[in-house]
Amino acid sequence: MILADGRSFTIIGENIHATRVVQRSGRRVATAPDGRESLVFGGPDGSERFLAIPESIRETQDFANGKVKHVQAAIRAAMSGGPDAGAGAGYIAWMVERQVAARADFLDLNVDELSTREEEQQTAMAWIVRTIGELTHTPLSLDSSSVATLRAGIGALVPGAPPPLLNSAALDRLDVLDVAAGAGCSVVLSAAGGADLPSDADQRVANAMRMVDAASARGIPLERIHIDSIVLPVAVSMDGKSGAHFLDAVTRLRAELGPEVRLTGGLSNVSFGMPERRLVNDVFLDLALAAGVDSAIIDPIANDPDRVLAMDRSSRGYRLAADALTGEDPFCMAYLTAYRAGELGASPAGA
Amino acid sequence: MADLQALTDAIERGDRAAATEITRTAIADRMDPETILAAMTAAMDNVGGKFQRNEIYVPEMLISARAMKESVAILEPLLVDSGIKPQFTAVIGTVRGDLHDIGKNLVAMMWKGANIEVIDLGANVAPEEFVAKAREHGARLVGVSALLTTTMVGMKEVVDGIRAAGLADCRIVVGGAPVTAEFAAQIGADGYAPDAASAVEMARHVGGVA
Repeated sequence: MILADGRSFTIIGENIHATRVVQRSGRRVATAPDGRESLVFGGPDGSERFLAIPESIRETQDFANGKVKHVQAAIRAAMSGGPDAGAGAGYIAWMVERQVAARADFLDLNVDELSTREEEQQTAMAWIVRTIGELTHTPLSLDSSSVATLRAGIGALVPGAPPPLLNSAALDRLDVLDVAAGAGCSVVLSAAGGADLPSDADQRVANAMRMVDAASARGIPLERIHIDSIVLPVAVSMDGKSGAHFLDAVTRLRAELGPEVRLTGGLSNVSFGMPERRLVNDVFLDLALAAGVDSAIIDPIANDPDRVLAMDRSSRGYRLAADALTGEDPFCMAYLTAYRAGELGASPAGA
Repeated sequence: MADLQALTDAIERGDRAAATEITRTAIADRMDPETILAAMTAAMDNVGGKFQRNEIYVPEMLISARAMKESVAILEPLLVDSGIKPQFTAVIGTVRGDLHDIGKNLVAMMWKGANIEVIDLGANVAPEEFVAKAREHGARLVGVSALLTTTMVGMKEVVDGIRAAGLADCRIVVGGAPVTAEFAAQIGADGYAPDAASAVEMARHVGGVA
């Protein structure tokens, strides 16, 4: 997509993940006219439709605790071929339509949690790649920690489909680079270390540069590379600097590698464990854009980049979130205090 | 006499200056070290409960744990002199091939707050190492974390390893984003904890401490 200020920005829409949860008590779950507890979604004509929650989901402890893994429910229903298969496929089509309308450049597909069996993960990845490929020409981002699952996704691309993005290669998953080189795909390079997660900007930059070298050695040009500089939750870092380390690494990698490479990250990780996550995510996206990010693994429905660019940076909510994100507010205390006092504001976004 | 309720409150709100000062006063007042410790663990129990009820957030858990840690450090020599030991020893780590340590660190922190001695093996831990350390430290509890479906299958190797080693008193608790109660039961783990606060309840339950 092109941002309102003219910059090019790649959105890797992260919503079609088997990990995704909705609350049973929330507005996305209701009793259907047939009496079954169901996921609510919109049909192509805007009508309200229902997907009965499959038995395999209803039996889980998560479900008993009030949570529904909704993407998993849809995939299971659709793949079962049973009476609810049409509703399952319709649910996925609805998700795809909303992501595309929110200007996702790639649809990030992750089915790893559907099963602990590798073969079943591969079958599910192939199924969803085929199914979504028949609905849209929007490029797909194949997201898995298993190279075999990524291969299964590539093998299921519909004829004429644009090349996918592979998410991701890492120092302990270099074979993904071979797949990307062979298939002519773009690839996300993770700046996670080979043995542990990076604890500062130096380690992020060093890991990323090793990955870029490994990709270059396989003939993958910078234009096909997205570097994920690893976003970790600011709430769990004792020094509160994990957000600042990410931003610093992005600035340095941009200076080092120039404009061709895409710099990205799973930005919403940053707000884990904090209230008003949407505000925190919005502000972090704004800070990341300023640091040199031109790609992001985000939910464009929740965090529209143009709305973010129009935020009032002098608002109290913005400044509190920014301080928490850059380590200026130890243990996010000022932010949490303002949240409890109702002083963050419903949304600091510009009108 | 030092006000132990004030100590509990200070730790709960993460006020390390007040917490350490009251601890020092309590020691100077020759209060029973075990009673002082109980006031501290009570604070962390409250913190865990509030976290589960979504009344507080992760940074507030962290700041309470820091106040707890600094206060316990002051009390430590007296606990040792009085022969007061932690409830039991737990070994914790993230499973082999998995570098994610955030959830594991939160659980380790809350276990320490519950007066459990925690041996933290870090991330990317081989099943043999879980077994070796559990044996070496006479662990009553082993906590295994995983954040990826590709690595969580390795949790079964840890469970099998502990059983094969004949560590009959050792219970295994698993957790992590993709882990479910069903998966925990399927691999033969003794417990599953969806978050750090419930990991404390689970530890007390399977560790046999009320």
